[in-house]
Amino acid sequence: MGIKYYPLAPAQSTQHQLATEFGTSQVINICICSTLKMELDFDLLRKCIKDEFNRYECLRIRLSKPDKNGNVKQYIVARDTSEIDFVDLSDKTEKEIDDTLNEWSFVPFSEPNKPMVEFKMIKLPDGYQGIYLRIDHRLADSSAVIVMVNDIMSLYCHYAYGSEFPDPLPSYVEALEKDLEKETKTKKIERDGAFWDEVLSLGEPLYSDVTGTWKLEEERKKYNNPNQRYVHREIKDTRVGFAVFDLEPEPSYKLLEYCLNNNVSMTNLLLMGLRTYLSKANDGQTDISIRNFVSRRSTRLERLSGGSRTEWYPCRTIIEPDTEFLDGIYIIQDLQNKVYRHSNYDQARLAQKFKEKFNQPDHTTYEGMLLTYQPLPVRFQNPNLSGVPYKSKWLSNGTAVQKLYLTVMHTPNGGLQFFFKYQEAELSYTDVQRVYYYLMRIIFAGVEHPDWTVGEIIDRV
Amino acid sequence: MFEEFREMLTEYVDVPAEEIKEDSRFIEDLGLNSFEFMTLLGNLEDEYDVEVDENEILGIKTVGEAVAYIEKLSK
Repeated sequence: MGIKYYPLAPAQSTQHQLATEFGTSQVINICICSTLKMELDFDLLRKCIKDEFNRYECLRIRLSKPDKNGNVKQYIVARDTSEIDFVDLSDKTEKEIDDTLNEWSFVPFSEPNKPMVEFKMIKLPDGYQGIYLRIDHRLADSSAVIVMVNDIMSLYCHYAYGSEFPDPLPSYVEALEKDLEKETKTKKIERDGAFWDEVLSLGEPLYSDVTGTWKLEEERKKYNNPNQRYVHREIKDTRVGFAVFDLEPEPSYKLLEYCLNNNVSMTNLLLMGLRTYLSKANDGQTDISIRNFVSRRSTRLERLSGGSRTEWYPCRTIIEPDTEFLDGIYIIQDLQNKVYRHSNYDQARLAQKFKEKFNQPDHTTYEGMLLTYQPLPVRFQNPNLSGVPYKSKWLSNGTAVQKLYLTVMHTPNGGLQFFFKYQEAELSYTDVQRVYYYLMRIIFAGVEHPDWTVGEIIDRV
Repeated sequence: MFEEFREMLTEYVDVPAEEIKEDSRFIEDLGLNSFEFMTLLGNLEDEYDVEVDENEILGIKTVGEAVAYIEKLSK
């Protein structure tokens, strides 16, 4: 039987566009180091990883050579014979380990028709042992990686301790075919398009920068356009900086409880906190846009079949200062629910709409930052591993393609981690520290003083 | 239509079909999050070739209410 070729699904195309725009697929590497504080049988672990290549179809995706327009096709190979190396880093210093992991993580998958995933089995100091993974974002997103790591450890527990053999993982191709079929449903595409037209009918969005109004003012002068409402993105200098802040379990619990009691999601609470910060930093600007990630996984098939299903959609809100904080969250929630319903809409089509409606040039943006809330922790659910200390660290691919990108994750101790990745050409650590400081002050002011309005919060924090 | 809808719902939730009742609430009883709920309603549109009103569907809480709403639109 011949090889069946498929076009990239919309979420994959978004990643492909990024790699094309920045000239290297290094910018779409996803890397994780996931280890347990226990003695592992590495021969057995190697077998489980090899089994995973058979179980998890998306690991066997290959991309064809780009055509003259830069487009690629994908196909699945029947088997993968990649070797799984073992690397002992247990006698290295923290810095040496970081340098080694970085060196691995910065390497792009640049050759067509070749594997785009690499596993290593690693030994770290203090008895931590496990897996290092580098994978191209066109094959998997973070949710897919979490499912896979958990599945490998379920296989390991089956062989090592006799626990139940994990259920088969659903087919990536089946999910892909369903996605591609949606692309042929004209009515649906028209409905989704009509929704975004309605969003755009509010008028051109207005950029707000985490460091204040100067950025837009500078651009207006530079391009001699006092009415300009977007700014240019930095696409040449992708040097990356990180700022990581941990919120303790007790205050984190307080936020989760607030969400539960008020029927709002953590994503929408965070969006409200961030847009209020941006409003404060931009002289009370009421029209604020943030780009929010949507992990398009709703059915069991979508949740467990891997692949890349993450899309970024603008969350634009116009919230007046006399609005109470919780009401602001409800405004965002209402909008986000509508965005979710129309989240099959291809990013390229949406970008085209902005271009046509507002003459938005290439490489420009209305959003000063991006948010991802990752509700799924990397947690080994097998009872044989319960109580075993573990560490899971998402690693940098060495580049930042967005000015400021915040990922909020749950930590093993029940806290929340705020992981900021930023372009060093655009921001400093102190700038990001300020964002976090005010974000916390704003969110807790809103949570603790439900009667305070947005304007009062901006004035008081 | 309830049977069909229940079958479709089992693709979204880890609850056996026989445990899904007309008064089952999407979020509290079946564990759907808002993204899953909105996608489900979007897929219902395709399945039954109807067009739902975004503001009206946000008020739907139970399986029975969703079925009644889609039936009304299908007529």
